[in-house]
Amino acid sequence: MIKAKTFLAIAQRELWEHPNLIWRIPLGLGLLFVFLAVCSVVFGFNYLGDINAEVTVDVVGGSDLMTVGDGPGQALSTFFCFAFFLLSQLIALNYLLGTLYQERKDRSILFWKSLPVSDLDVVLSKLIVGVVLVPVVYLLLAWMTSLLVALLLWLGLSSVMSDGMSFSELFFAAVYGGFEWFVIVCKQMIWGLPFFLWVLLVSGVVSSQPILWVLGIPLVVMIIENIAFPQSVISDWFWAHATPWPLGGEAQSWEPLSGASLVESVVIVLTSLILFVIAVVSRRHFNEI
Amino acid sequence: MTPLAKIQDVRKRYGQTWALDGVSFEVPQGAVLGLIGPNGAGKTTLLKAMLGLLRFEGDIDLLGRSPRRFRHELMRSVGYISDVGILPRWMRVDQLIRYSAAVHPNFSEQVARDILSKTEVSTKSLIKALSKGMMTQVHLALVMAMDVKLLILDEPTLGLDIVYRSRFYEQILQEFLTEDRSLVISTHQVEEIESLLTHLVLIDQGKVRLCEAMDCVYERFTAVDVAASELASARSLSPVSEKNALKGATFIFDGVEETQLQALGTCRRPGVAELFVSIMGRG
Repeated sequence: MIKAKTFLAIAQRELWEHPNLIWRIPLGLGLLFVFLAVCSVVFGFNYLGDINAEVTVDVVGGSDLMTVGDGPGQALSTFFCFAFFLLSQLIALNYLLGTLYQERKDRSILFWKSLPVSDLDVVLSKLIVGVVLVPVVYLLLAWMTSLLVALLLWLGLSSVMSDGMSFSELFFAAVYGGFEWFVIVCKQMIWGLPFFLWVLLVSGVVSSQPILWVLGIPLVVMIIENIAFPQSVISDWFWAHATPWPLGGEAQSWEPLSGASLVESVVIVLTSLILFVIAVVSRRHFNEI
Repeated sequence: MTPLAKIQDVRKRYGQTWALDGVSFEVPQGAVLGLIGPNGAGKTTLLKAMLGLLRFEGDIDLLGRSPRRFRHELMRSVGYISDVGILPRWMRVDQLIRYSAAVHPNFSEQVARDILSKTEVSTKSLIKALSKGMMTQVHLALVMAMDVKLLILDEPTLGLDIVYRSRFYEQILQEFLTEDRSLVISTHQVEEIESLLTHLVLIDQGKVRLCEAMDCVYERFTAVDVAASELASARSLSPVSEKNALKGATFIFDGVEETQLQALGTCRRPGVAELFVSIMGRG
């Protein structure tokens, strides 16, 4: 199995190559939100002056999709975690789409293959970076953003409200919201695994336009299924898993590894395993473009 | 001594064309083997097959293992520099050194830094900001720091000016070649490596035309500058090639006794380039 040292070296290499995708974008967004919160507090509440405004926070809509609690703390963490989560899925898609393709295109694959690192190590490391590291980094930064914004809002609200909000309630609601989203992100890692492995596989095989192949082949399968069969089982399954878990139509009733969805869990694991093996074998056979 | 590499009846086909057609030779320990051939002869395909980078028919044994099955294990003891800039262009030199040190068990970060400190390359430079000569220096420094048994060079000095080319081979001589290490070089600039070579493989259209130790090459082949009056006699000894000269012609003979040739004119060792042109011309 992959050595921790090799994985860390490859992960470090990916951080050197993709600092924007992996940490600069979420960090920049987080800082931007904190800056906006500071502006809101400084300009907004100062503008209100010392009136004893009655402040209420309503979370409107999205209750089917989001695990929104009643308090503003949880609403904050839900807002940031949800937004960063969706962004992390797009970033993971973009990363996995280019990671094996680019090293073949710039011919650096010949250098990487001249080092004693197996194809299994490379494919597994890149998969872990895309499916685990990216969402986790985004979630952590979203969570920290929500805590900082909660703190700033509390400071602002306390300055204008005589019976200010409880800081501990606001803070712990934001912390709890972060944990809830951590569970969702973990579920998505499993739910989206077949789709992300498909993307990685295509990245390692095609000689041009990987995005067209990633979406084009399932589209062709869908058209054939629709024409030839009364049901489109394969393409429905693919598109459901191509969608982030909280939004996936089929996923709403899906609980990983629970009795009700045992078949679905087995299908996910088996499909992922097959795609992973093909991706490893492909990296062995496909060199520079 | 056991050869470091054994290539046996290796074949590779691209469509209808055989890029390699029954190639066989060995790379003994301590050898500097020159793989010489025209463009499209199959040199790069053969080197890639030796590195386990492509599928082929036949057998290749590298340090006792199959490169196809054990590529990444073998790369602990095999170094490779390709004809094109294959270093990742987005990376900095120091990142490349740190990464190599992290994944290569026989890599010495200090050796790489020491070698580069003698060049104009800054370790903080991006690879894409380096000239081609500097990129080759970086790649060479990495390979020198790897403590490998077998070094495979595929047109390593292509596109470099004469100063870089000369430094490159000097460095190889000083820092790589020892009795238990071997070097396989594929190049067009035959004259520059001629003095280094201990073995010669001439390859054309996927077939080995000549495979000999350099001592045997010089025993077998003789170049003779023949005067115009002796041309007919020279031709009767079935020369490998005949090239017109100012006053007569230069003939290259294979396996003809030197005593027999001395009567025709001045005998000398043929250069590798001369031999290459003669044998390739013979088809």
